[in-house]
Amino acid sequence: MKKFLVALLGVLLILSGCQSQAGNSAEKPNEKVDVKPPDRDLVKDGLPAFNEEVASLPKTDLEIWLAADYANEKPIQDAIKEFKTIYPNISVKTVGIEWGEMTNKVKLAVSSGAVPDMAHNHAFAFGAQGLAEPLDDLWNGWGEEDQFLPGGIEDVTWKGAKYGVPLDINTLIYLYNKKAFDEAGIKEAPKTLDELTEVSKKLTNKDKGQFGFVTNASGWSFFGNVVAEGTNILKFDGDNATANLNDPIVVETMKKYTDLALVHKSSPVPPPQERQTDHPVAMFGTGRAASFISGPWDIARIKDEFPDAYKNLATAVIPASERGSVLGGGSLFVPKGSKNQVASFELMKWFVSDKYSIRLAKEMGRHPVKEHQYNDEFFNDPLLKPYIETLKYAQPYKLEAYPEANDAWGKALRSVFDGADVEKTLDNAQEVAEKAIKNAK
Amino acid sequence: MKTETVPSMNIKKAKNNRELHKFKDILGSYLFVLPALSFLFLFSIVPIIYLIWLSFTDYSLPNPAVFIGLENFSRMLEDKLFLKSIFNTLVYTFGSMALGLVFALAIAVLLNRQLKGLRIFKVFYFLPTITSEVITAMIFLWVFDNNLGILNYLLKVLGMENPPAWLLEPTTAMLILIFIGAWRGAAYNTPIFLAALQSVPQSYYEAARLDGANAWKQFIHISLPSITHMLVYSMVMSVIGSFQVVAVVDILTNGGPMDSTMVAIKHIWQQSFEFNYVGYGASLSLVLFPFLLLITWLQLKLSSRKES
Amino acid sequence: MKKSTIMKNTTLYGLLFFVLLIFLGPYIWMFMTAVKSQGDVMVWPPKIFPSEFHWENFLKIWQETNLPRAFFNSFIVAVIATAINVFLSSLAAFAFARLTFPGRNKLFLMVLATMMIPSGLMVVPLFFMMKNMPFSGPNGWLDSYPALILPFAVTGFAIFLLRQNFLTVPRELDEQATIDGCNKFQIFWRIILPLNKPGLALVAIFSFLSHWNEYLWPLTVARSQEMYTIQIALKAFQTQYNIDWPMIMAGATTAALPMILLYFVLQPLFEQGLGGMGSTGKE
Repeated sequence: MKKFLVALLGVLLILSGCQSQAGNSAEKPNEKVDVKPPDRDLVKDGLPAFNEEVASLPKTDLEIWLAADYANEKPIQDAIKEFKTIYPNISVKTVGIEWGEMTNKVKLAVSSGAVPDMAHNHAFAFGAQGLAEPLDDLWNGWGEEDQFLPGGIEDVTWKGAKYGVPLDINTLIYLYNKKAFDEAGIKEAPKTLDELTEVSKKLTNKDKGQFGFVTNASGWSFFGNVVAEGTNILKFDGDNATANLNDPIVVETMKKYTDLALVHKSSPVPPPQERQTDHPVAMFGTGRAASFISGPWDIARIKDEFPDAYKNLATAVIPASERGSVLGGGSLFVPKGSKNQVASFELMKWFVSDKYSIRLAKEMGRHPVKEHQYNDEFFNDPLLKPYIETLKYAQPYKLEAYPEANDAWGKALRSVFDGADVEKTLDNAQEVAEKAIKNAK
Repeated sequence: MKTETVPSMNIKKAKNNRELHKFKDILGSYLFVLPALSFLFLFSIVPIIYLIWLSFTDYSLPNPAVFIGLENFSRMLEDKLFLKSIFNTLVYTFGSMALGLVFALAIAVLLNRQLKGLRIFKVFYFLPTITSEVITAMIFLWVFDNNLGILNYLLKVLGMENPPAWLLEPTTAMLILIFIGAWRGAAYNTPIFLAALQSVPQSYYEAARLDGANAWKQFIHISLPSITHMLVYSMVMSVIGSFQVVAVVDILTNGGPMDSTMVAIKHIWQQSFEFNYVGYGASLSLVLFPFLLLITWLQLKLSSRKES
Repeated sequence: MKKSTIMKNTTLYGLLFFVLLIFLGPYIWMFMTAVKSQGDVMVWPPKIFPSEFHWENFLKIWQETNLPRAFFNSFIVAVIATAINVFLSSLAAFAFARLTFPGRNKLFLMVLATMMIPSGLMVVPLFFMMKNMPFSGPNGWLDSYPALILPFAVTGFAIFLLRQNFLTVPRELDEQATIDGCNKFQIFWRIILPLNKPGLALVAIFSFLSHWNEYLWPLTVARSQEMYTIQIALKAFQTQYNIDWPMIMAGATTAALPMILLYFVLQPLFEQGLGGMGSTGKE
């Protein structure tokens, strides 16, 4: 028995030994590395200029947490590789984490003091919850803020402070089947919610199981419709946020939107799962729905998975009385407690540099945050036009900074789809949101 | 004792010796249980003590925990969703347990005979136990989805015009969850019941047959009584397992529609992680413990009655 | 007479196949999805068989993803945890079944109580314990094999189950052994254990399965991709806007295969173990 225990202990020690090799900067002495500026002009190559401050850092190990569908992609890994040749004093270890798990992982990491040096989500929400380091000084030192689309900056800003660097952005558009529209004698995409209702009714054919439109029950996506109608569920007065979930316009928009499924039966009732992204594109791609609202990622998906549907694909801005939508995408930030802000920030600059941003767009379908990068011919695709137009007016979903309010909003939409009264539900959600905002620290 | 000693001393020494022996005995016994119990103590009891402490605090990561007395518990009284989630958990637990055990018993009876190729059936019947809950739920998504699922497609092909939207109606959504729980439970319990059935001596059945008892009567009067203890054991285990259900709910219904499938663990998880009320979540989990201890007590009672 | 036996057997096999369909159906779908192309998964009307078989999906799992490493980790974790559980739990179960010592019943009650605690509730406290483990790096045991293995290694369930099994061994055997000069450990090692191989197989299978399929705990303590276990690696095919169904299902199929094999090999022992579990032990 003793022997067995000793052997067991040995195995565990060996195993824990092979684990601790994996980057723990604290154990290493502040070893100096002599970093010389490169002989080429980095700026000319579409990269950030050589940074003396980063070059003078002692040996540093960065641990960066990226969304699972970014971490191992070539553009990201190539950027890291090139970054390391310029700054051999910095080593980088990437970890891919499923998007939805990032919040909990970062929360636990920050609370326990075992923090990574970079993480990837919506920086403002982490800043709001005290989970990210403010980076205003580094931004000021960089001085390139004016190159970014305002929405991108919004994604990293909470109450005046900037907590990260936006990596990519996206927004929602109306995707429709041109052939189906032609056959029904509809000349152009609907321009308001009422028109959408009319058009969808016309395109619906119950006997064939055909729907005119596919609604979804994602609070994030429906927020896009709210923005497009010219209002917001969270109003800011300086640094003071107030909930506005039961605004009359919100009530009316939600009523019209859900009626598409509930009253007019021109859309299926969305499935109950938390994930709402898979259902609409599948309905549209298999020819059972004529239109839906989604982002440019579904253009790529339709092209890959449903080539037949791609042939007849057309896009337009979201049908609404005003313009804009929800601003998506993601941003990079430094979790609270990390000591390697300078190196981490420099790497973020590399990810959004012209050289790599364009590659992110072309190879991964992740669209850039700097305005001038849209001059690339890649964005001349007519399918992307309404998207680029919407980007300028898109607004981030800031309710996410208050998890309970966020949940109440999503749940409200879901309950209305399940048969609850719109006004009453939104009044309740408003109450929860007000409380959540008041309680936030 | 080879040395010759004065008798009185000898007695004393023997007594001492016996005590020493007893002491060594007890020490030896502890050595057997100590390694396993220290694991359980460190990784089960200590965390519970920590949870008890947290339940009296206001704790939202990454801020330190602040002692707030009984506030969490008074807040609980207003948490209607928690009550509902406990109710749902009970419905799910008893539904999936009853259905699962009945299925398992029926299949075990079916398998309890000499037929060619039974082994391969037994192996495949165990499959649902082998796959993780997450994967299982993801597969069933493709069965029960209202628009994309294979079940409604088949129902439509068979001529049903408006097949139910399974996961969108409170009753059917719960039924589907119960079905999946029972599906896994049946697979898990079938070999257990089969083994119990096989340990019933064949002579009992022969005697019954001579008395003219038909198959059903044999089942009721012989099989069932001889495996009662296994039934009870499986019931307890199923209750424990079902009480913890969360992954399947998360993936299939997300607690909806209208909170009809919100289960206790999901509610606790949401409070402590999504909303960051770690202290409150801890107090909610403490409320569950009496329920669970009741089951433990029941199990102990049943297993000790059997022994005496 | 003979005719009726044939009839009866046909009905029996019919029933057996019907049950098989219910249990196996979802797995047929899983396997078929694993060899489909992404677009083929979504077609309408749904198809069971792929338009063409993409066997290379299985190759892709091995060559282009992080899964092999995750398989290795899951394997290491499950094997070591199972070994610990089988060994330590059988020691404890022996004491609870055979030895008398003060506090025995109270301790056994504690063991039973630990069975009831939903593991999901333990994640937060255990995470902080792992972080603050003494004699380890700045991050404690986070992102290490000990953290993946040890917290859920020993289970009350195993102790309970083995105790039930041990109770079925006739006491006369121990008494005889004591007369022959065996000490308690020798009785345990030479008599109880060999007689209860089926029970041990049972515990081994259940332990292995639970570690192989565990999701929440590894997700919480594993920080680097090198420490991911299968269930986490599988989840990575599901991203913000897309789910790679063929890859997930190819991974899930691959993950199920060793389990099926293990079960196939151990099934006879397993069944005997279940038989032993239920028999009435006499104290």
